[in-house]
Amino acid sequence: MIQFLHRRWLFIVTALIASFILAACGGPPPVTSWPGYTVTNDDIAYLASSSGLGAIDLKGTIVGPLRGWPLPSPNATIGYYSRPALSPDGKTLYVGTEQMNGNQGALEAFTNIERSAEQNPTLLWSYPFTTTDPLPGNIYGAIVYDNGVVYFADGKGQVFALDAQSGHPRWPAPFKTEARIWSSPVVEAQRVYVASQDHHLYAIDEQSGQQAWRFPADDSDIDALVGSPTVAAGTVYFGSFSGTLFAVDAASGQLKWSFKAGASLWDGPAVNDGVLYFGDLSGDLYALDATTGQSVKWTTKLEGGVKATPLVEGGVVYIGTDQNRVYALNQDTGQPVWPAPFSARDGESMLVTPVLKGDVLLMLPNLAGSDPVQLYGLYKSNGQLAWRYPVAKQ
Amino acid sequence: MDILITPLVNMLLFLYGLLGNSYVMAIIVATILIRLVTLPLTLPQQRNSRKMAELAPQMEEIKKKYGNDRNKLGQAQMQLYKENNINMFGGCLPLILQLVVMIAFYQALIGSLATNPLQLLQLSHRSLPGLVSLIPINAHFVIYDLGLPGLLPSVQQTISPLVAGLLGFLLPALVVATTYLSQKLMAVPSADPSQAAMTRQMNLIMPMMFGLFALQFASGLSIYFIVSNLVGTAQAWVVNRRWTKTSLLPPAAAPTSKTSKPIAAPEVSDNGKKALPAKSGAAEISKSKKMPSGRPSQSGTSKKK
Repeated sequence: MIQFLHRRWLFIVTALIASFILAACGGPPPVTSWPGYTVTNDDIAYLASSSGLGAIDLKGTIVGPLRGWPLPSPNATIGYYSRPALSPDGKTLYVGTEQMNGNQGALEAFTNIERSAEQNPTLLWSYPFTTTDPLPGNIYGAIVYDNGVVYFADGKGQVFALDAQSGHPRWPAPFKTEARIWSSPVVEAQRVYVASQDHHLYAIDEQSGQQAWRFPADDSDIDALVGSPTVAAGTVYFGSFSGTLFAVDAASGQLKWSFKAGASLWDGPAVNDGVLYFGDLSGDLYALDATTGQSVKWTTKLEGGVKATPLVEGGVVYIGTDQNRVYALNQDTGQPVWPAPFSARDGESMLVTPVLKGDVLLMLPNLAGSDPVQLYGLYKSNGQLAWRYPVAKQ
Repeated sequence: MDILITPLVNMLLFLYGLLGNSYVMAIIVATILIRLVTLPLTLPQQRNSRKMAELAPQMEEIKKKYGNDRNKLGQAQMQLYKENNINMFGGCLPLILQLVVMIAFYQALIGSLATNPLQLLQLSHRSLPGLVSLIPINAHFVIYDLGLPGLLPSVQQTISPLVAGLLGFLLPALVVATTYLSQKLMAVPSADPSQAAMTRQMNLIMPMMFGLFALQFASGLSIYFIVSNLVGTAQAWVVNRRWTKTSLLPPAAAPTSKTSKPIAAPEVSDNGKKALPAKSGAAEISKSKKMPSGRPSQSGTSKKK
């Protein structure tokens, strides 16, 4: 037996097993589940995921796919992860792509996407057009449509402004920051605000694409900014990965106040009636006075970390956690509205902002390694599951 | 695996901050630290190998005697190993653990870089609070992105495919060369022809295999292999210098006598149960052959200098 168990050969066998494990778990790991969605006033949910794009008709009693959908990814190395944007007429969909095994992306525009379209969805244009165009990196942040221009940021730290009709750049060159951007730009009052992981928040002139200001302006360090900012009442609110929430004057870039949370912050707060609602990655949810940042109305501990901006509607704060829970809390007290939080299946993270459609709360779970994505519909009154829809068939 | 990955992630982040935000230096220092921590595992393994090589003549005798009876041959070999304090699995276990550490290190390397949002979310739960200020980690090292295989895409686009191909093979070639070097130094010359042939095969297979790993996986893993091999080479060199001066076998088992008295295999009863040997015969095997590596057999107890 000893001969058969010769340690060197055992090592070869073990090494081969190790290589399989490395191959399975390692490599440049793709984002297998970081889906984004946008819901129209016309009750269509457009979803972007690694397998492709989906459109779900939410109208009526049966939730089903729109005719001609889903649009599968052209090949296995391309995924759609950013929240898509819609043109105001609801006839064009803009979505960013990620090229696995490399920091490359593209922005694609699709037409014939609406319910009444007589043809199947078709690609209108795809940026970049040639290799001489400034090349975008991976696009994880949401796409923003504003006044005929599509804005997005990328994994190379660039911010693009493209003509929504033609796809051609509006700025002479993309705005460049020093590190990757995974957040979404926010367009407000002729300015584009974007948070970069180079530890700065930038305000860019919407017309020229030039920097208006950056925060902090000096060399002081506020740590990486991973999530999207929130702009309200002339103030930009954003959290840093070390857990500080900043309020900066939108016009001048001057700090108004800061608040230290207990853990890393991702997306910016929801603002409602002068109160900021936001959570950190340890699961603490805060209701904070928006004017001074000093008065905490209430805090509550949730099961799982909070990544997304909460939804505040009808006196209720809705939010999901990375531990498969969805909560509905009283806006004034932080007390639960539902008898119990909704629990999705094990491993599903609720990392996107919920959307309320009538009596149903829509929630898009992340399930690492799993695609196609699912969409949940929960009764807003009690948090019970109304329906769950598979976006695409494997 | 998380029990290994989480400390390694924090170690890499801590070293990255400590070493001037240099990820390649963090990998190098982390690799050296890992080699030091696993020294109590690798040294006994080397010690076992050397002991087994010293026992090669005795093993040959046993094979000659019980060549046709695999059962008795196996038992006699076990007896010989037991009497010379050789743990058969003591050689395998450290190797398996090293592989586990290698996989964990790779996962930690990819995890600490957090090249996509899902990984950053996982990292936020793994890293110590003070270390998140280091994010994002700059993984660029000359022409490589330590979190990706091959060259930096931006470099790849600016040079000819031939040059890119050659540069892409640079780190894997270094992995092959250093693996070969460390294997060569760690391998103990054996008097047993079949084992010597196997060692030669291993000295070729292992570098090729690790070279393939280096081609396929993130460049940071290649740095780990190279540094680990260099440390292993240095360790083997020091150990070889020290251990070649003396026999590692217990005095009674060390090659001593010119008289030849074959080892007694344990008696096997009819019902297949092993009967305890009356007295070890391991020490009574002929030692007329020269020791491996051309070292003459010593007389009397092993000499210590």
